[in-house]
Amino acid sequence: MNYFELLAVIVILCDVALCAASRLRVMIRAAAVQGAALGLLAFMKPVTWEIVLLSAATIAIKAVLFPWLLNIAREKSKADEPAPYVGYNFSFAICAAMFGVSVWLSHRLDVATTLMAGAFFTVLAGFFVIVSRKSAFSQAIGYLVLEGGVYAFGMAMPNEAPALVELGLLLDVFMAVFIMGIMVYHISREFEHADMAKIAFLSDLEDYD
Amino acid sequence: MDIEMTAIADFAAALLLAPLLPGIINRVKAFFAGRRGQSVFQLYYDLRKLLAKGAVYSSASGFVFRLGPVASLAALLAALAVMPAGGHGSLASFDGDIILFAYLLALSRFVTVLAALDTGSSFGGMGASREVFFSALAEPAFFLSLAVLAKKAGAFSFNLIFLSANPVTGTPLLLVLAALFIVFLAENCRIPFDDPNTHLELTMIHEVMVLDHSGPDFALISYGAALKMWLLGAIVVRLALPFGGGTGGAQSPALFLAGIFALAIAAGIVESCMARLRLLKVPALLLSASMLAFAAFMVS
Repeated sequence: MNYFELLAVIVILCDVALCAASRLRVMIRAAAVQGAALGLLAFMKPVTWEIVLLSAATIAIKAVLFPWLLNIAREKSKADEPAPYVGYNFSFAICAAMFGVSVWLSHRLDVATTLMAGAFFTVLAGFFVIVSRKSAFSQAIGYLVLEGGVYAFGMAMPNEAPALVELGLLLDVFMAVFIMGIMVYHISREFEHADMAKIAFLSDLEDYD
Repeated sequence: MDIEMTAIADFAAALLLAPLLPGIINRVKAFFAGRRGQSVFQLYYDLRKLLAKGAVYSSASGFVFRLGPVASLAALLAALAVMPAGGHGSLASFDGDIILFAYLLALSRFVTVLAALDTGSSFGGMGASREVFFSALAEPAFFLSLAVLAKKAGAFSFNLIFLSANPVTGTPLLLVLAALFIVFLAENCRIPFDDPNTHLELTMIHEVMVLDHSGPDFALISYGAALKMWLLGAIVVRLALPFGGGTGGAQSPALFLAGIFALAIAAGIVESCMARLRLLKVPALLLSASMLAFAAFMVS
């Protein structure tokens, strides 16, 4: 059995779980599992010190640190996940469509591997979570998943990965999600929710609710 | 003519042994609950008792109600003929029999639903509506799984699929097995979709539909349910275990029996470890089974 293919399928299934999960905890867990799978995928490339470092950093940040931070913020806020713009069951249909588009795109690129389709699908799923969910937590997770897709794309390209670029990207996302986490935490402390649909004005002249 | 004799033996074995499956599931559940539980042969005793009784027909019901159980069992027997439910080939086989198999199962459900509606009982209608709703959602998952198998084997016949020299392996196999196991639980009305032991009509799905059947009719329905479990379980078992492609593979009936009883134990463990899903959550699980099969189709 090809283990890298299995990892690619795990990445894809985590995307589906992310798009259709109604609970924040499930989303965080799916993102963590996906991060671990992405970290292990780095060993597809010829093993060098950079690759080992990249894999270790990815697993440490995506599978351990972010889930831990997001879980702390989630427990502190005690806010319910507001209903998304797109229903959970309909999200499955959208997932199937996005996956179809991803497979088509990977065929267009002549890199018709499962991982390449998975990379496109992960990017699309990240975008979908960002636009379809109202809570700032979910949107932060969507951003994280989006970056995971870019990383998977780098892994799926047949030539050697510029591991330094991947590491730099990981640093960017680390900073972004860190800042997002702090902001979301403060927003949810201030407003007792993190529903982005309700936080539409910055002015306090109008009711924000 | 050697193959035909083994096919007949498999057919007879399925007819004889199918009622063991619900018994095994109940026994596993009892074990997990710390009880001794009923005998694994309980369904045989029930069937004998029911067959000896007379049937009661409501004056409000017509011939459809009487037809339901018989037609349902007949459809399942026909489906058993095209399914290699044993270690060997099937009794009948032709190009396209996987489609026929799926629709024979659907026909069996359809006549049961008609019979439930014919009673005029509101519970029957409610159960029928739920049953049709869930099976409509399970159908894409089932067909997509069959599509994966047919694509890989290049044939639309169970015999050719299961004896193919080019079987589904690796990741697609895992995905298809997961999808088919979910379909197996849904189609056989097991937890997490339906609780066969529930005593409240409002929460029933399959059981409430057949509530008005009595005596021999109910025996046919119970037997049909066991047979359907054997049929759908056979697909999972034939895929999961190494029966070998071509002619040189291990085509052992013992391996098949061990597999299908292990599947019943697995279903029993699932039932012991989970509660029923909320009705609103059921579509999500069935849709995710469809997604699993879809992913398998794309990957294979």
